[in-house]
Amino acid sequence: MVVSGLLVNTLPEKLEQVKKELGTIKGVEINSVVDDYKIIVIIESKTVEEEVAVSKEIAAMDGVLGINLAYHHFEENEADD
Amino acid sequence: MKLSRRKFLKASAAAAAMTAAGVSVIDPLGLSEASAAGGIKWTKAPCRFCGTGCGIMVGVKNGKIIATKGDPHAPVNRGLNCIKGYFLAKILYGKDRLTKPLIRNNGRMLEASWDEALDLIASKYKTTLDKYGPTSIGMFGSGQWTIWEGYAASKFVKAGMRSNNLDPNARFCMASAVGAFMRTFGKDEPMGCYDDLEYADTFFTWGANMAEMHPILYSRLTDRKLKFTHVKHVDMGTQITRTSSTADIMILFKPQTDLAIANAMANILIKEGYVNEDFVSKHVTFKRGLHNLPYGREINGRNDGGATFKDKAKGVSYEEYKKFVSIYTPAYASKLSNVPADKIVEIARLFGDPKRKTVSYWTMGMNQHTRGVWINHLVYNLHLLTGKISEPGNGPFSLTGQPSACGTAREVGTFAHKLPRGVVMNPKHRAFAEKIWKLPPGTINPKPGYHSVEMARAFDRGDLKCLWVMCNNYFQALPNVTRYRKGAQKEGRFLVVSDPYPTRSTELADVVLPTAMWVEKEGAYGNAERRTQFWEQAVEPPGESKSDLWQIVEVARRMGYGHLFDYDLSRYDGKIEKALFEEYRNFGRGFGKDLAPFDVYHKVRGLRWPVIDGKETLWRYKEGYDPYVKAGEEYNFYGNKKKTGGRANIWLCPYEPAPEEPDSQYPLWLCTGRVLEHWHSGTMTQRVPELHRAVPEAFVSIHPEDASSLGIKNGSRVRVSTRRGEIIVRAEIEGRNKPQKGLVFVPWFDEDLTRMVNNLTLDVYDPISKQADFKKCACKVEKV
Repeated sequence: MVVSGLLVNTLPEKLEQVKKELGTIKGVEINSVVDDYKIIVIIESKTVEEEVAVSKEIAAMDGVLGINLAYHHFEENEADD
Repeated sequence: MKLSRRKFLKASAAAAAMTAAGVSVIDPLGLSEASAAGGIKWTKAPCRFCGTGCGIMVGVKNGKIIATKGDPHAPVNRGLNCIKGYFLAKILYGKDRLTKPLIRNNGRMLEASWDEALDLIASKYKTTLDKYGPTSIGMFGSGQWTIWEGYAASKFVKAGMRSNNLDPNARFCMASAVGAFMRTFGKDEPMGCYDDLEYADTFFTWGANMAEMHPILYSRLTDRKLKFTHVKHVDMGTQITRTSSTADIMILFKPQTDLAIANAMANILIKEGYVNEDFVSKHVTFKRGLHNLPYGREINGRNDGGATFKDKAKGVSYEEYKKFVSIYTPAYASKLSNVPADKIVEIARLFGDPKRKTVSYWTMGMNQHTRGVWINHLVYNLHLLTGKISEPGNGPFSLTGQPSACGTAREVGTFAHKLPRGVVMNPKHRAFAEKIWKLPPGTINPKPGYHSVEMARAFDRGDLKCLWVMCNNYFQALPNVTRYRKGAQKEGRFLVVSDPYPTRSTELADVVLPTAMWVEKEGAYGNAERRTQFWEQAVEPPGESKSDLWQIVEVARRMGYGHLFDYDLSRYDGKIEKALFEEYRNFGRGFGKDLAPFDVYHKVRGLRWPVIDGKETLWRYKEGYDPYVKAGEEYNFYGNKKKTGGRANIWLCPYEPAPEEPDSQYPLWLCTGRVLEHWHSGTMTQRVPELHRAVPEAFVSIHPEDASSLGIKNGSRVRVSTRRGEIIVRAEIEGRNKPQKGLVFVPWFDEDLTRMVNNLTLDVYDPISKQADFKKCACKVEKV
């Protein structure tokens, strides 16, 4: 199982729009919002590849200034528990 | 159980992200305990990639790295990583890691023992040295070497072989920044630090795609800008990048005309009264060097003078300087650069505004420039004229691309003219090094060795016969690389390459040595803000891989230079790393580069030198911040103490054209660079399958109007050619990089010979810094 914790920086005026879009991606969970423009996001996926694809999708969203990775657990060969 | 593990991982991820966002988290699940129970051992290390120097926590289980997180205690990144964090650990586990030494035998690479490989290298070097002298052997090193690896290499080449043919890949990266720092302040490296990001009111980025190349610093910049609405960002470059997205003003200029724009800005600062006259009268002098410089071209086998160029500086008056810049009117700069004159006036006023603190960041756009030292000078000139320097939020700052370009290449001095303190040309500096290295007087060779491009030319000609490439990919990184790849394969050349992976350089080698990387060994890096950071070994290297340090010392011993590395290790906890570092510290102590003892760095999250009485220095040269500046001095640029009494130099540097500009035959500018997914030549990142699939090959970014006039669509296969070669790549229109009309961009990570952009680049350089220009040459694009 691959899990990561990200900090997504947004343009404050586009925060709600970004949150809405994040809600439509599979495996993405919004944990909380800090300082009115930083969204704490958890991504869960089967492989790192999937996870990188999701992060890149988030990074490319309109209103997203950048994404930062805070935690990354990637025991891919581990049984999917 | 199943649920709790999943919940636990997610909670860990959320906690790490919240900590990084500045929210204090009370360990709700007892994470630290749970980690220990889960068998994960965490250690700290600086990141392996760029020069930002982020702190990483590396989680190891059963001898393998299984998790990484941003180190919440690291002041640089405060718990965050950029997207490269996803593959930081994976670079260790590529399927094609080299695990045994290889020796070429009738054209085939055969596995060999370490003894066979090391004996062969030592005997080849020794016989060549005996027969042809110290200019016939050499080493090409790295800004990715640990501090003690660079230091050992310097000792091996300069004290052992008595040669100065040692140069790092950092020559390709920031030699121009070094040149200008030395000529302006008498000491290398920025006076400020990353803390400036939280104090500045105006940010200038010059030729730097910080958003993709230094994302953590960019995230600190955007944080500052979003929290304080008065903060402004000016982005200056030849293409629109992700970094431009936060820019209030985008200055898209014609390549090479940054020289004219910076001079015009100085002219406006003077004309409109933005000069801090008190600062200038007390702390600045004016200098003029030679103009109409050569470009290090080789014409019929002879250099145009760039290789041995020495500047002749003379002092000039403030009035002469004013007169010099007065020709750079906004109109003249606008004519050269295509930037509207009123925009140039606007950014000059913004820069000069005495109520705003201003910081300038730059990377390769300024350094990889045949007038790179000059454009660095011209930016310092703006900071010196306005006195915006050496205090929180005010200063010029060159960002670095390699994790220890500063700590190893620049500070240890693994350049062809350098010693750990000073230069080989200076008898006092040689004597000082000879004393610390316990060498008979006169041992160190006073003549500088070959610098990067000239080293490749000498290998091609055959003047250089033995070359050891370590911790970099020289035969992909060189400009006009096809020529030098052929040269390396000529009869009578002996090439050794040390690397963790097979590369475009190992394939040409006679001996390949498998190398331990990053946390497979104990190490130390120095980042762009003078921060020295250590790490412990966390995992074992695969197979028979050994560190670069071990390799250097073993060859040195076999060549009879064992005495250089003969320490009583019982005094250093059994570590040669500690012995080398403690010896190296003697070079900087009392000379502005004081370092803390070895053991201290293993406990702290890095310290910014000079470290005096256990305290780091955040801003150099200003009273109250820098312990080297005495009370009442206000500022003291003490690197220039003897020459100017501690004043910084403003240099008169003109606009001069690029060595090759577009013409009717090759009508477009070619600019090279990096992409977010791949780091440098891709030797590490291309081993990570998911990254490789994300950006599998190089492409050419082209302006939509240029594409349409050439009949090129997004995704079309095109031929990009220059006077030196051609590549076939796909066109990208309106992608992440948006070049100006008349310019195309190709990233350099791709090792496929049909797409390797250095087949096209121009092998000339700045005659002062000897740094090549990978950002400008003339090319042609055609549909295939």
